[in-house]
Amino acid sequence: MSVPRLRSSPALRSGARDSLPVAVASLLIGISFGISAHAAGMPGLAAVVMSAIVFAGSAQFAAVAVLSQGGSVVAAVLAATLMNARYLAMGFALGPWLKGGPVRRAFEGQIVSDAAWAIANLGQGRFDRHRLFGSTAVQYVTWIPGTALGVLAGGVVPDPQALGIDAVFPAMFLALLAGEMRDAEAFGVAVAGAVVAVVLTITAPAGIGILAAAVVSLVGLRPRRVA
Amino acid sequence: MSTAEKSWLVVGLCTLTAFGTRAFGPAAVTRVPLSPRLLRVLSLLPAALLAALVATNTIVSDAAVQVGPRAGGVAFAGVLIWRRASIITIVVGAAAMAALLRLVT
Repeated sequence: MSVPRLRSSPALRSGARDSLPVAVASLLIGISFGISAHAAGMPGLAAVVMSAIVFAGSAQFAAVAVLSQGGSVVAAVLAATLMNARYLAMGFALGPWLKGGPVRRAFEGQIVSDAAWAIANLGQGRFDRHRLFGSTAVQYVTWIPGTALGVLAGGVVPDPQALGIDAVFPAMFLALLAGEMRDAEAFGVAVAGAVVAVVLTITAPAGIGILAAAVVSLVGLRPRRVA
Repeated sequence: MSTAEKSWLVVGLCTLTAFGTRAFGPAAVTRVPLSPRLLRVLSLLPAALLAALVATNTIVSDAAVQVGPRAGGVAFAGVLIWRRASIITIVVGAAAMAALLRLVT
């Protein structure tokens, strides 16, 4: 399948620019993934390949965590897959804004990460695919070398936590969430989504919480009250 | 099976499931939905998902609620957002605050 050439556009560049701090975080989190994978006994090349083609930090950490505890292949894959469940919901929101037929859309849909999806979100249910591609591009080029560095140089790199890197993603999501607070209904949905996600993340298998939070948005199906 | 063999198998299978999970929505929703109700749901979806991502990435660690330095960093991000700071300032400020709180606690 030929990959359509994507010309540079202002949206592509702005998506990349807005994602630069995330790209730095992605490098450091990549390093810590490499270290974890190496410690779990995963071959270095397998860890790098996983970053390059699975490209989903939390799912990769989940799979490695299961492997490091001596869990089965099925358990590791299941943990990673559940962790990625939120991409089902994100894909539905994004779908209408991608290009081409189902097959091309399925491939364009691979370019999703949490941060890229959030950066591409223009509000009012609208998404800009160029911002999505720009955001993923800068994360991708740091995530893979980060993983390789972690595998090779584990132990000599700083602990991402000490640098406060773990606050980067939630801070960015919070900034984008603020832009979504258009009316009381959106605010209510956000509060309910947060509560559902936290409760289920603590009680249900990892990854289910965020997908379940998406279900809250179905309140939009209620018939509108005509004021 | 050795850990190396298991690892490669996990990578291969995760590739398939990750592809399917990301492909499903885009392949299923191939045009801008015309139903106003569906549009309403899709416009509320980011609020629900972003709030879920913020909450779980801020106060949940190891399947328990933990309010620590990271939550302090994200709270500081909230102040910066309210002061209309740029996204770069917000993110760097949150990381710096979390690092600082870790240093002093």
